[in-house]
Formats: sequence, C-alpha cells, structure tokens
Amino acid sequence: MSDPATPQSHEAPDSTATAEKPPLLEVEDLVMHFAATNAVGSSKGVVHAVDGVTFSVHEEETLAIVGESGCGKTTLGRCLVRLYDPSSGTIRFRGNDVTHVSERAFRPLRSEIQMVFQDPYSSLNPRKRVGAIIGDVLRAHDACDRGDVAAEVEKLLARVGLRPEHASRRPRSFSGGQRQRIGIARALALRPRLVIADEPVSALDVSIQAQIVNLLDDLHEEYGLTLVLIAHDLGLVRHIADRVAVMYLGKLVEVGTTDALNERPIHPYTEALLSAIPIPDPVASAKRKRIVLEGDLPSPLDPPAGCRFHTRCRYATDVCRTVEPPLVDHGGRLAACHHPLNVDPPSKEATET
Amino acid sequence: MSEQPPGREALLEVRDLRVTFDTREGQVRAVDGVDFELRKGQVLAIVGESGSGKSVTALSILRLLRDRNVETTGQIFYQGKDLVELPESELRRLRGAEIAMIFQDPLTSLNPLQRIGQQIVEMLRIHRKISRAEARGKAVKLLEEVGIPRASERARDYPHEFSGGMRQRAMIALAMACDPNILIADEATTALDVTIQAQVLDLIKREKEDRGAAVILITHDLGIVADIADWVAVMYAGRIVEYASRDELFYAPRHPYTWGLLASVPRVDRPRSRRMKPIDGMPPSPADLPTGCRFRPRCAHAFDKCEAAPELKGADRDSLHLDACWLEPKEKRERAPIEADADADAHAHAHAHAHADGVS
Repeated sequence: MSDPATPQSHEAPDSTATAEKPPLLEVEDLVMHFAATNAVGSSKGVVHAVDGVTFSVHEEETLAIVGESGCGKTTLGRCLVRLYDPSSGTIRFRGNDVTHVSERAFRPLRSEIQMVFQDPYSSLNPRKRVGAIIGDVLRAHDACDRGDVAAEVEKLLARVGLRPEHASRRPRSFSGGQRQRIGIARALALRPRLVIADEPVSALDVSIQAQIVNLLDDLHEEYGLTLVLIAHDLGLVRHIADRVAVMYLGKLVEVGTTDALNERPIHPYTEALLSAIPIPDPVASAKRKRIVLEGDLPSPLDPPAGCRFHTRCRYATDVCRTVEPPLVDHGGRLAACHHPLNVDPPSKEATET
Repeated sequence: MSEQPPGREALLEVRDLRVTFDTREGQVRAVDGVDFELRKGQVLAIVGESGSGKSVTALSILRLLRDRNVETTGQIFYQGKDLVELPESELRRLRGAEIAMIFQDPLTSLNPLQRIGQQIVEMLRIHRKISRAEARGKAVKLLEEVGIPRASERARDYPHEFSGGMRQRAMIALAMACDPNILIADEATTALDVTIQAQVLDLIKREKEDRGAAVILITHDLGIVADIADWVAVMYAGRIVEYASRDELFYAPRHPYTWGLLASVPRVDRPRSRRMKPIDGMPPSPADLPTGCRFRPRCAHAFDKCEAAPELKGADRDSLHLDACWLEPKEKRERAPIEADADADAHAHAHAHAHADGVS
C-alpha cells in the first residue's frame, strides 16, 4: 500500500505551499468538555469530546477533518461557528481571537463564517418557502437592498444548480440532493470567506454525492472560499481536500497533504481507516490487505491513558499505554505516534508486506 | 431470467415480484416485476439508490411490509412454498429461524426492554427444542463469535448499554441464533463506521463460508459488493436493470446506469482526480415514472428505441449476464467506461473466456 522509497516521499512541508498567506483560521489547544448526566440528571463524569486540538487553515485552502463517529469532529465544527462555547483553547479568525467574544461582537463575523449541515431534511425550516429561507439571511444581515433580495435569491439558486421557480416551493418538494443545494445556497448568501461543511454528502445517494462534491469544489474556485469539510468518508473528501486532519477520540492523530496521507499514512489509525474503505473493484479489493481493528471506540467519558488508540493498535507497546504521544513534525506532516509508519529515517516500523 | 445453470437447486426463487403502495397521490409501484434466484452459499447483492425498490424487495420476502395499503403479487418460492401466499402462522415459523434479517438500525429488531442475552435465549427457545440453560450457553457463545468482549457478562446488558457497533453485532448474533438458511441484510452496515463495517462484513462472510448460508445483501455501496458478493442485481426505479456475476458486473458492465454508478464511486486505491463523475439528474419519483426505459432521462446514450421499455435479457438463451438496455452488444462493450488496472483487465479477459468456453 505504501513504499517509503518512492521519490514523492520527500515532499515540501505543507506549510510552504501557502506560506505567503497568513492562516485564515487558527485553532490552538481547543478543548470542549461536556458534563455527562444520567437519566435523572446526576453526573456521570465529563465527556472529552474535543481534547486539545491545534490546526490552522489558510486562505482558499480546503481542509478535511476526518474521523469516525464519536471522534469529536462534529463538536469541533460546532465550536468553530460558535454553536458551542469551547471549554478552553483559542480560535483565531484573521488573527483575531474570537473564542469567547460576545454574540454581539461575533455577529459581523457570522457573514464571513458559514456552515452547511449534514441533514438537509432537518436543517431547512419546513414551513418556509425556499425564497424566504435564503432571503431571510440576506435581510437579517442587510446583505443587499430589500428590493434586490428576490433577484439575489434567484442568482444564488442558479449558482447551485436550481431553477428560479424553486424559490416559491417548500423544502418537502425537494430531494435530498436538492435540499443540500439549498443549504449551500443559504450558506453562500452572505459571501462568506470560510465555510464549515459537516458531512455535507453523507445523507445523499452515491450518484448525487459526487454532484455535491463537485459543486463545493466549483464554489471554492469561484468564490475563493476556504473550506473545512468534516467527514467520516476519506474516499469522498480526498477528491477536493488539500490537506486532511485525522481525528480519534477528541485528538488529532495525523495532519498532512491529502496524497501523502493517503499513500503513506504515518499513524496506524490512519492506516487502518484507509484500509477499511471498500474498493469497488473485486481484484483490487481481494489483493488489498485490510486491517480489521478489534473492538470499538473507547468511551470519551473515560479515554484510555497514554495514546488513545493503543487499545486497538496492532503496533502498541508499553510506552503507548503510559505516555501520550505529542503531535510531531515528520518532514511537514504531523502525526502523534510512538511508532510512526512510512517516515524517514525508517524507524522500527513493524514488519508488514 | 428463467435460465439457470443446471444441477443446482435454488434456495429461494423470486418470480415477477410486484409491490404496489396505495398512497394519497395514487398507486405507487415500488417494485415492478423483479425476478431472481438465490443458491446455498451464495451472496446476492441488490444494489440501488433510494427509491430503487431494493429494500421493499427485501422486506417483501418475509412479508414485513405490514401496511394495509400494500399489495404484493408474484411468487417467492422457498422449499416449495410460496411465501406470498403462505398463511401468517406458517410464515412466522420461518421468520428468524430459517430466513433471518439484519437491518440498518439494530434498535428495530432488538427489544429495548429486554437483556440482550435473554432475547437470543428466547429466539432459540421459540424455534428450537432446547433447555433454558443450553440456550443461555449458546447465546453467550454467539455473542463471543460476533466479537462482544466479556460476552457472558455483557449478555446481561440492555441494548442501550451497547455501542452502535456492538448492537449491530448483537443483532447479527440474534439473526444467526437458529442457523438460518438465508440471511437478508438490508443496508446492515450503512450506519457503521468503516472500521466497524469491516468487522460486520467479515461476520457475514463467515456465515456463508462456514455454514453455507445464502445471503441477500441490500446495499448502495459498490465497494461492499466487490468485497463480498457472488451475484449482483442492479435496481433502478423498481426494476432490475442488470444482473450479473460480480466480476462481469465490475469488468464488463452493460447498462449505462451501472456505468454511471461505477464511475461515481470514489476509489482510494487510485490517484485522485479533482473532479468526481456523478450521474446527472436524479432518480425519478416512484409516483411519476418516465415511460419506456426509466433511466432514459439521465442516460447519455439514450436514443429513439428507449421510448419503449427494454426487457431484462442476456445475449443468448443460456447467458447468465442480463441487462435491460436497447444498445447493441457491441456498443455496450465499447462504451463501457472501464478504467480497470492492467491485471484487472487480464482478469476480466480470462473470465470472459471461461464464460464463453465453459458453463452452459
């Protein structure tokens, strides 16, 4: 699956690619803990949903945050748009600390940071017509003259591949893919700089998923959007992501350029995650060595000591059970592992293939 | 589709299945003339998008569409009995014991108020003449087999105390309890993470390999089909549009819808392209179907003949690869956008030869 000897293994650190521009979004040591309660309200402890996450996103970059359910990726996304108030850490937008600014102070930023939600069935108000769903956003932010709202809505609908007459319909008369297009049009209404899309295609049919992924890529090009895509399916997002960050139990375990991460994963979890994605080709599928992870994700109420992945990792040793590995730089790629794979110089990489 | 290889009895035979729902918008035919056979030790994948009728097909086998507004016609033969006509009391004896289902959402088949082990014990005691103690031992063994850690202890848990992946595996343990001849998995891994999905697929494979169970796998994921299916039926808008062995479907697909599906799935084993290749448009609403070939409005290859509905048939009488498309065989070969690897090509080639020389 990977060959450390290929020439591409000496790529430039990914920071140089966009070094001229300062990061649009910087997240530093972000923590989001929730108090867990049982059915009668007494405390069961603390859910470590996001537990010290650091990354940055450059202007016009597409970053995918990938992980399985329960890894904290959705919570992270919601912290970024201030749907949650983080427990600690810093979020900077264009260099300004916006972590705990008041709703009032954050308001101007709302037009610059928008979100596309996973479920196009619950994220659109069923009682409103599409024209009002999008128009309300324009009016609330005085984004255009009142008289121009209808025309602007039409333009937005056209841009996401819908027809002008769709403005007068309600969400229920649309298919899932069309609803997601409406959600995207709404997010675009205010000409945002940053769009956070939380599983934007996972509720859609296969043939439609590709349509939406292409649409997001078009919009990224056309508006110079910066995109943060939150997804469980690396196979889909890798088509348009410049970089991928892999999350496991509240922490980033690996961050790297999409191709490098895909071809030569450093973290054993990334390796397993990639190997488990089914390949729609019987021969390739049979030839591939699939790593089946044992067991389930541990509870975020009581994450394992040391490396959080050690309970399911086939390379784990004593050090992994006690010492938490920091996210370190491997030639421009970041990974948090005591036994990194595919790195030079080849460390004591477990024998494989 | 009546021609099948000689000598092997079908375990399940579905003939001209039609399922019609009476809705406020009129009659909606969700399944419109579906035929297939299932043999021992085989995995048949039924692939399609939402509204294709794949789940309705699966549910109608055990008559699980309880709505009074549903009408099912056609035949579903299992051991000489037509399940469409079978009295409910007799069908109840088959459900779970001989033909079992795994659903996408485990909470639809697990009782939230009963301990997991107890549910398996009950299933065993209803269908098999065994003592409570024996059943309890078997339940724990089943849970162990599906990878539940500390099974004897966890058997006392309620479904909500299990994680999503564990619940799915517990449901499989429940489905496997009576060693059913047929396992029907309706999007059984769709809601699971890929690493858990891999575990569940391995369990289903084991059922097939170790016990010779036959499996009907309803899925939209061609990656899963490539991994586990022997035969594939591709459904579109209530009909099967292509039916083929797995390798033929992937390496010599004939229907433009199959081509579109194959092209639109991402491949992690290939260098990525920035653009994905979707199928334009969207599936038709079952309440408002196009006339003629139902894929016609989305098909780049449609021509005047497509205004009439094409029949599902093979190149000749004995062919096991069927498709419902008006294109000429040569056009189907030449236009299929197969970008397989070199060795995959060789494989398909060898397969095509074996097919031409051998079987019937």
